[in-house]
Amino acid sequence: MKTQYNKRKGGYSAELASNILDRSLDQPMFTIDSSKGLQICGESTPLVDIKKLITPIPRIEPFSVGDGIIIEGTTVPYSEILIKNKGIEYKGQADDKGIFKIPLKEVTKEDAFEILVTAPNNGSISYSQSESIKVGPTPVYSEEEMGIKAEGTFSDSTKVESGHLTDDSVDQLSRLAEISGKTTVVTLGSFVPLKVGSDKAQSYDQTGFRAGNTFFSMGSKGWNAIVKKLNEAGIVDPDEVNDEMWRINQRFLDNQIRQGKSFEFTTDPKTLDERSFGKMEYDYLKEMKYNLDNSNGKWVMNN
Amino acid sequence: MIEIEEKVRESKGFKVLMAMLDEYFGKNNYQIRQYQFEGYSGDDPNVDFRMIVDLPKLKGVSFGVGGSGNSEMFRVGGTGSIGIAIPTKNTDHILISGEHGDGLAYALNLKKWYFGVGVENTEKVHEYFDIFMNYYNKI
Repeated sequence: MKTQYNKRKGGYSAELASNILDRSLDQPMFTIDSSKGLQICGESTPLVDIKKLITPIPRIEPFSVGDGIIIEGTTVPYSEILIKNKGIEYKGQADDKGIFKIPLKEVTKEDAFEILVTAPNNGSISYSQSESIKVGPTPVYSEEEMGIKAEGTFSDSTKVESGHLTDDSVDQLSRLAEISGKTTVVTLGSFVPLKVGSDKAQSYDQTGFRAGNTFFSMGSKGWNAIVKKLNEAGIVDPDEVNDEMWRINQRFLDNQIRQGKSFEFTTDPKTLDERSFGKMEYDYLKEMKYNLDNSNGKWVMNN
Repeated sequence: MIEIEEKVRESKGFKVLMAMLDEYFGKNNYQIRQYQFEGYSGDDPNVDFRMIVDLPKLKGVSFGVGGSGNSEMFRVGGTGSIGIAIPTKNTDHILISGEHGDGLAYALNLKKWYFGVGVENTEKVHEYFDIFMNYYNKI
């Protein structure tokens, strides 16, 4: 038994469909013979026109100087990644979402990493290697450079009554922790500490400062100064300390909401640790009728 | 990574959490499906971790310790706090298993427990687990 398939009858995949539009409507595309299996008609003419494309240049996330740094980026799913620096080659592969993470031994401020990407062929597109791009580490700004207040100012403004920060103290501390930018955007997200194996450049405070956005930061010294005063006032359980610290964070958000600002997370807030301040910020903004919009690749919350 | 995993397994938070699971469910009545160790290499004392546990009546519960190590911004430090997150469809939040779920306190609207409970406070750790068991027993 022999069956002929053509465009009118359907029965072929959507992938093939886009490649056969130029053919005559009545020309059989292929035949199926029970004894010989599938046979392509007119073998001298390729059924599928292979498009040749150069792999697009990948998007690379900022990374900083240090040991154990990971270069993260986004490209075509399952692409092969090649990174070259000082004669050393690092290789990796993007996942099904096109995200890749390639660990580097160390990054110095003089380094410039050449990045080349080759997307996989998919039957209708043949990719060649991307154009070469060179990327270097993003500067990491100190707390002083970012304008974070001195620890003494946080300590002096910490007043506890009846086991809680006073409302005035919450207000003062929230304003001290506000680093105002020129834009109408507030940067939120994960805080990345400055230590081996961390990529400080991706921290929300560094991202916010680079973008000229507003962000919340008392620095670790300021944070510790407040915690010390809370401990001295008998607030020692971590959950109770965090409750008081959250009141400051929440007041900061209230101040930004009143100013009509929008909020931008450095990472997908839906995947933040369930008990992190970033997750609490996300939940609070949802309570305040803000909606998450990821349409431009960023995690923006507007109301 | 193995170095971080070893540090976590030796930490007080890990031991307390495992003891609580044994106490409330029995040693052989739960299965740990997935771990995520969140610390840094080297001398860093951060022993944060999360794990996905399949319980007899509820699969995919997240148990973990957070906020351990050095005190720094958003981190009280020390032995850290235990947290539980439960699978629920009424959320857009995603657990490390990739399934939808949310913090126990948020899911049950118990804001007092939003940050979990400090590892060192045995009485409160039991109180927190009792809240979870009350939820679990009604499933």
